[in-house]
Amino acid sequence: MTNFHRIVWQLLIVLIAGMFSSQLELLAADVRFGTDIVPILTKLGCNGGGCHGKATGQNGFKLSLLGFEPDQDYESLVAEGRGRRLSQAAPDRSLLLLKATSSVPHGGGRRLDQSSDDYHLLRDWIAQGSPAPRSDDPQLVRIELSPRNQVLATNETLQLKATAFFSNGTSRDVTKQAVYQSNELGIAAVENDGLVKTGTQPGLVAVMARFGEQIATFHAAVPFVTDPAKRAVIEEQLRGIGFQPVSPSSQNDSRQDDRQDASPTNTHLLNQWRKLAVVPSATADDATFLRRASIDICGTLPTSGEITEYLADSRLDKKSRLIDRLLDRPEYASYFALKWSDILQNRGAGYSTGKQRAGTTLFAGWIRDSLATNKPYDQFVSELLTASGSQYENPPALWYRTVRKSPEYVESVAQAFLGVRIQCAQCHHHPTERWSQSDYFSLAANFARVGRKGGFADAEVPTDEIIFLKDRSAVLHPRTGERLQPRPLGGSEFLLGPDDDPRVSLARWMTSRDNPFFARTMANRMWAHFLGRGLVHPIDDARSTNPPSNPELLDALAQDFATSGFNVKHLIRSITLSHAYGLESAPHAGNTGDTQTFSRFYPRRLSAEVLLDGFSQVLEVPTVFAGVRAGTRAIDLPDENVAAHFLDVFGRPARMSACECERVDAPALTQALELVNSAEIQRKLTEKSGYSQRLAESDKSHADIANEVFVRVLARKPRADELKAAADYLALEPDRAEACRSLLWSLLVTNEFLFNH
Amino acid sequence: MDYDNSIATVIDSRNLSTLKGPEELLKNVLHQPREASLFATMSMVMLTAQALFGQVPPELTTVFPAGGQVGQAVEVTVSGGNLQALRTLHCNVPGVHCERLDASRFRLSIPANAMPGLYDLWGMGDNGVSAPRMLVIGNRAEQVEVEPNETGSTAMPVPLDVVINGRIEKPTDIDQFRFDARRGQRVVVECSAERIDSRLRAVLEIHDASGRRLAVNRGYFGSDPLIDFRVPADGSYVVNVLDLIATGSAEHYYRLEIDTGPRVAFSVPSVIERGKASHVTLFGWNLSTAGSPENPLDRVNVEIPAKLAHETWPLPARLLPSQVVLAGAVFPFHLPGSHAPVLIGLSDVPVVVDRGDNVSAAAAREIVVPCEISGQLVAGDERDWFAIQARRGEVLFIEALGQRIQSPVDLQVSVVESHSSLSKPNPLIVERSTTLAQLTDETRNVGGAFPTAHLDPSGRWVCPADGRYLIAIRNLTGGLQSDPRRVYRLGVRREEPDFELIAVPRRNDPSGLNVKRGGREVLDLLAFRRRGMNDAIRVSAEDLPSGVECPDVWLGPGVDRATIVFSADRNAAAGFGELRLVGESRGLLRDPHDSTGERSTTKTRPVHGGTMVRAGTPNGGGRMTSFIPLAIAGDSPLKITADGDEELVHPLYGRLRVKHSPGGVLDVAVHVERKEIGHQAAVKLFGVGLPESIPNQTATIPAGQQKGYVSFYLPPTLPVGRYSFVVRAETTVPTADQKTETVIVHSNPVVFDVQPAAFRVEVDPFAVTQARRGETIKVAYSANRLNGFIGKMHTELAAPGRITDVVGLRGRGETFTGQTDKGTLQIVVNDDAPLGRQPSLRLFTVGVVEDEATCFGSSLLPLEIIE
Repeated sequence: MTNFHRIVWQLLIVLIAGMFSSQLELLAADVRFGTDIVPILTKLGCNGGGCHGKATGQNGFKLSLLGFEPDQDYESLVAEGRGRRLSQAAPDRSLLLLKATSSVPHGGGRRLDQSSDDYHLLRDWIAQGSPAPRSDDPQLVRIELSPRNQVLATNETLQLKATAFFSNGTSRDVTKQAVYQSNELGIAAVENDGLVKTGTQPGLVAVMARFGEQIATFHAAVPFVTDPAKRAVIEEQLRGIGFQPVSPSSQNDSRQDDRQDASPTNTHLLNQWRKLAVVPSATADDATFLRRASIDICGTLPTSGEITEYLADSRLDKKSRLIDRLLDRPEYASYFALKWSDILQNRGAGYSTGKQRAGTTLFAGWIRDSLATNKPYDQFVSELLTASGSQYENPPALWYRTVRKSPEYVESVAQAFLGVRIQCAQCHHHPTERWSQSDYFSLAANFARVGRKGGFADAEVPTDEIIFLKDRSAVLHPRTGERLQPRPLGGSEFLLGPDDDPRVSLARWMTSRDNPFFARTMANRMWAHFLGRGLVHPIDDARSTNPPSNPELLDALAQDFATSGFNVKHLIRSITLSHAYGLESAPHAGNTGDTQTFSRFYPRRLSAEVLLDGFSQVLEVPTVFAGVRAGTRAIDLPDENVAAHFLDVFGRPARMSACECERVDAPALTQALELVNSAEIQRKLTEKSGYSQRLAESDKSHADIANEVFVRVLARKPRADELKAAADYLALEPDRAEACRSLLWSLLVTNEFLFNH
Repeated sequence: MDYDNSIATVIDSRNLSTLKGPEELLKNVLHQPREASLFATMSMVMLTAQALFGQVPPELTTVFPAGGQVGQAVEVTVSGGNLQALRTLHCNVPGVHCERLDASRFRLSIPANAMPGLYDLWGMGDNGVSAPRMLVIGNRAEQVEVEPNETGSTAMPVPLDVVINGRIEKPTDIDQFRFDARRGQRVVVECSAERIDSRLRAVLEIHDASGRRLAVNRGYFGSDPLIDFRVPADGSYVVNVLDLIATGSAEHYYRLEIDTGPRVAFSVPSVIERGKASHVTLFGWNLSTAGSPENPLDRVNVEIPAKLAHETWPLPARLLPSQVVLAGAVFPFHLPGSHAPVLIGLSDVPVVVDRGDNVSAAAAREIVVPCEISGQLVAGDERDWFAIQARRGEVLFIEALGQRIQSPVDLQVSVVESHSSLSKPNPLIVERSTTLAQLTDETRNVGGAFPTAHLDPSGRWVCPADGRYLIAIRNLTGGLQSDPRRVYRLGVRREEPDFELIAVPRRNDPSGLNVKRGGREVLDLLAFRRRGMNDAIRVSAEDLPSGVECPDVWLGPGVDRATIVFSADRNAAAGFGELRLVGESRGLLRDPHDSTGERSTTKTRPVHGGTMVRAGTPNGGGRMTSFIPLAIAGDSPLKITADGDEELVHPLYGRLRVKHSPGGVLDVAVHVERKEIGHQAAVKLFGVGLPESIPNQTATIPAGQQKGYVSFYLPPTLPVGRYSFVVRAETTVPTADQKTETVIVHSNPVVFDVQPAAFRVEVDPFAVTQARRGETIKVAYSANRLNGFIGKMHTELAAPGRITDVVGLRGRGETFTGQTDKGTLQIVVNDDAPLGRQPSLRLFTVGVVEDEATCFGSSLLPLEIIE
């Protein structure tokens, strides 16, 4: 080699070395633990709940769940285990990289390729001395997905792009570093790199992306029909539904609601159907609507007389008159008191004496009275949250009998009134929401001064306590030990004097018209009650990553509810007079498979109490419950601790949480067995003074019996074939009483009876 | 003399003689000469002489109807236990006459001038006296419920302005009553149940003729409901009465008022100055001034003449144990035409009526100590502020009354720094000011099953420096709603110790005080000490009948529970009488009028009665009674006598009577006297009514013996003073059918003085605790001189009743002189020493001055003898 060549080589080496050197310096300067390293660990699943992110870590190495505590993770990586996990002298020999690449045995397997960008980034960070997070590091402010919304066809793909924005004004593409998750895998799946793939199922889907502690959501609609020609036909059909504008003068007059009006509710429903190119089912017939509304509002089947009267009513506003009539009945208060007794955990189990039953009865009575008088919902909740005094005398204070500790306060309030599940944040940052442990415990601080005194200790909890405002009490952040001041969820601290009850401030914040949760949660809860599924589903799990299926509709309902002065009956009128509530439950070819847009009425099984009361009503034999007044209906029971096997089999909840999901309506073998073998149903069928026996003893013809029984049980007349089959059976069966019993029972155990449809 | 007539006559004469008025009552109780025996002069009723051994006193469970109308007769039926020998019913209303109709029915004639209200009714008969039940006297027409009335169609028609006496007789029963009313009428429907000793937890509903429920109430006065019903249209309405949890029985009785007349709930002010004319506003329904939407209660202003403003006892009202402070400090004011009187408090210091314009610290109202404030906290978060001037070291007692005057509040009282130096007081600054004191509720339950705890705060505050201070009062349970019923009283006074006393049957069941001849019976005494009262209280009985004894008992310093004992000799005449007990405390009190020192004062208070309405939780509880009736009936099979002052024979100092001091041991010799001498079962002994700080002990008198000991350790912290307690004995006695039954009897009270200790004897904690027969052991101990004692100390081994030579053991005494305070006592264990733990063995030290044993001390020695 000549000198020239040697010099050239040397220059080249210097240049190359310089290039690498500058590149290394550049990389080192850019690699930040919080915004570069932690997202890699999240993307690779290292800090997932099933791996090192769980509370106890994995094999001695513990990371914060999903990297929400970078400082803690830095300590774990760099300092813990005498620094054995990182080797700055030989970065590639770092245990972190050896494990991740499965170069040494790793329980989690191979998570990283040595040639990947993520590997290089991790290696560079180690090589540069594993710099710690610094207070002046740019902070991740938000991430954005683009596009944010899109209408997609079935079997289509779309590449999402994720961009992270930092506090220093910079941004960068983090599409590959972000983690993605779809909420409806049947409609669309998403791959690791943000590629969305729709399937064959139409509907609405949301894809969440998480980078660092920030999340963003992409919303897609996959229409039922994409062919333009077919869409035009559907448009035409939707125009045919014929919504009429509501005149301003009649907007508050429920008498006008029977028409297919262009109320905001109907307008937003229609917009949704247009967007997804779905045609709703036909309008249900009057008898079906009457039965549906009677069950949903009063938990009670319509009587034959009511059916006849309603069918004979030819007034245009008969539906709204019916709703008003139902809302005015005491059964409305009873049925919804049952619902609220579940949510408010008016629990009787564990108590052994009459005095405890007095408490549950008192509380149930207060709830029922509040509903009967249509107490504004904000007042109802405020009285509950701020309840003080003796549980012996002040019924809402009984809420504090079963709701006793910080987690119960927070989770009950969040789920029942704010529609949020925040329990994750008790131990770690919520993985799919913004709620941190500070949010959780600051909300708990509102209840820190709930004092209790007196009371009679029983098996489970003391009863007849006096709830009062304690002088002072602190809630500390479990990790930092910081004393947390009372503040609302997602808000700033309340300004409180030393003698102010934080619960009052919380109630005021919660019940203000512009509260982002309160009215929406109740509107959604009521929508779910009547339509079988919440606009946000599940109803108490609202979050940006679980968006409402029809946000405009939910907003409109909530706003209208708040504007009405939190008038619950008004809200119920709005929902029950909506076009969706009046639809048939049977799908047609154009909306089969729809479970999101309410293009048909989603049928659901009657709740345990309504079903049992239905048997009692049809057969005119009340259920005998031990320890309560004779003739008490199941929907009127003071608490869940009244023995009734039928109710337990059909999903009566134990009232252990504020979640309506505790009431189970899933089918079970025991339910079928109960319908076949129930001694109670047998008693109702065979009771001498009951309807079945009286029917048998009457001189009615077989056809008359069949007609009467069909109307009584199913709220409709039999079809011709049904009538013939029933009459023939009655004629064939020599024992008339047995024949009547069998006919009644066979109708009572049909899905048509068991379901509200 | 005809038996029945004699009872009626005597009781009537007693009523006429004793129930003349409040002032006279107190005068009688406190100042009547002892020789004027109440029993002897008027109230003793002779009973049959053949009363038998084993008689069980009557127990009154229900009286139905539970009331009657003034000027009318009412036939009542009683139920309960052991009522066979019931002779009459006695009511504390002056002039009520009782006529026995049959074994369970009586006719009560109520005088026309009786004040409406709640009274006591006792059953009396050959077997003694029962505990009282409530009897209500009303001034509206009375009816008795007629069944069936469970449905709207069978609802019992009743007029307006009526009282219906009913019962929820069986579980799930509903009683329905139909009344007609005109549009605009204000009909108050009120149910009394809990307040009249009923088990019913009443719910009231009003339905219209179509069956639509118009109103419901589940509790207004505590758990007793009231519906303020404004009639919406002319027509018929149905009132339903039901039990909240659908229970029912004969004990679920009630009185239902359907009333359009004037009714008073409370007054503002709720307290006035004693003996002075005052103006008050009465709040209620159908009064002259209509209420407003914010305050729906009607009002009427009345003037209380000075002559009415005096304490009254008994009261036509129910008082709970915690309300004892009202006894003798309230009077009933009855607005003419109204359904019942309202209790108005009396204060012997100036009364300040809160005007409601002091709801911020900046607007604090200046008050002068001492005073009593009467105010209202209508809004849920209202706070009333008051300002006082106090001097450094000044002691104030601040006491609030809310729950105890039946106001629906849980009061909190704070003493706060004042920023009076600011030209414009800033509420925010005050908010940040230091709270100097926050007074606490009386959560201590002195009475056990007779609960005395309450929510009203009170306490002592010592002023830290001369200046102005703020007192804030608020309701902790106000919530968001306003309620005009939230009245309060707030006393700000100096250190003026006071107390109240209640005597309650010891057994946790509803029973009267029945003493058997040849036996003893006890009552528990509960002391309610106020405003720094800590001295010993002596309780004594006055005007006892012949053959009945009640030795004085002492609630020692700070002690708030003791036991008083009544004994009847074998020849005592059977009969009834009213028991008069008086408490007296003599102590050195700081004289508020003399800053130079203290003065000796004597406080005397009558002892009020208490009764268990119902035993057991959760529905048990008690209330005060107007009087304490005492009956002598039956014969006792057993009597025990306790002697806490038995002489000891000391080998060096001869016969001694031990003086007690903290750290010592009190030996009580117990003698058993049986009616059936042949039966000699073992007797278990146990202390009753001991001061809390003295640990209780048990001991057994072996079968066949008539004497034994039970010993109590007096803790070093026990304050100097006089105390008393009782020994309870449990054993068996023969029955008529040759079997045995267990009986519990009580001794006479053991009274003992605790003097300052001259020394404290302590056995070395590492001393041997086991010794073999035939062994000689050494026990190290110390005897430390206290309180300037410099005399000689001589220590011996001792056991109850024996010194030096105890059974199977012999100690070799030791004497300390000069500066000696530690030593070793040698104990010889005989070969025949009883095996096992030696009960109440102790080192017994006498302090000697001029060769005379003047002071004593002991230290228990835990020693076990083994083979």
